Amino acid sequence: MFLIRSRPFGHLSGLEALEAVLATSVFDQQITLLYMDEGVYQLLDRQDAGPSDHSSVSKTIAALHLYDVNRIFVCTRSLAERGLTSSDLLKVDGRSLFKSLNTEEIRNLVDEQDRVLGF
Amino acid sequence: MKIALLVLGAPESSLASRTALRFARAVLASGHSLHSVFFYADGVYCALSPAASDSIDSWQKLSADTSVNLSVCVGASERRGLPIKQDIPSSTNGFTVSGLGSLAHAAIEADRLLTFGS
Repeated sequence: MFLIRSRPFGHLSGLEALEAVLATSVFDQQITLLYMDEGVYQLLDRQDAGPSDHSSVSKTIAALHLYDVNRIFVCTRSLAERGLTSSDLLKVDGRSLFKSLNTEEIRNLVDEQDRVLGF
Repeated sequence: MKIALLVLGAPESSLASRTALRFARAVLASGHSLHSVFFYADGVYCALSPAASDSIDSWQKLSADTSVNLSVCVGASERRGLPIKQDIPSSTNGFTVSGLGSLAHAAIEADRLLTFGS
């Protein structure tokens, strides 16, 4: 599991996490992504890299299914704390890419993992 | 138990490098083995930054003492403009330049993977 808790702008953690995800995807492992805390901003729809000149991670996230990475979760509580809902998040062909989890579900999900890599 | 470490923080601005080093020593002292150490994201500064000679020396000493593999991510280093070829001519100085596949390997092969500096 890759646990992403950093905001998209100001540093490269989100992008470098995704690069590690893609590299790991060729090793035939079950890969899970969980976005929580500031990391939920990585998933916003119509994210505009704008003047910060960082390339947006949105395209990579939207393409993860091509690498058989389909287990992407987002923390409901982190969204709520930031005034966001799942309707603010990235969609592909009108379909949401992420499953929202509450604290209890996150606890169970993390408990199931063999490895957790935090970014 | 075989333990792998992932270092993500720069030595100047985080304690990741120092904490990981102390942890590595503690792992060995308690009878476990180190699988490898992978330097990724800002962690590559621990191995390559001209300002990080303390960090570099300490890791090299660990490698010399234990022959643990120290891998530095080539992509993260290039993105930060670090001069890979000059600073790491070969694996003889303790560090090996490698790709993210090494990180995946470490995660799969080691019993535990611990992250420092996220």
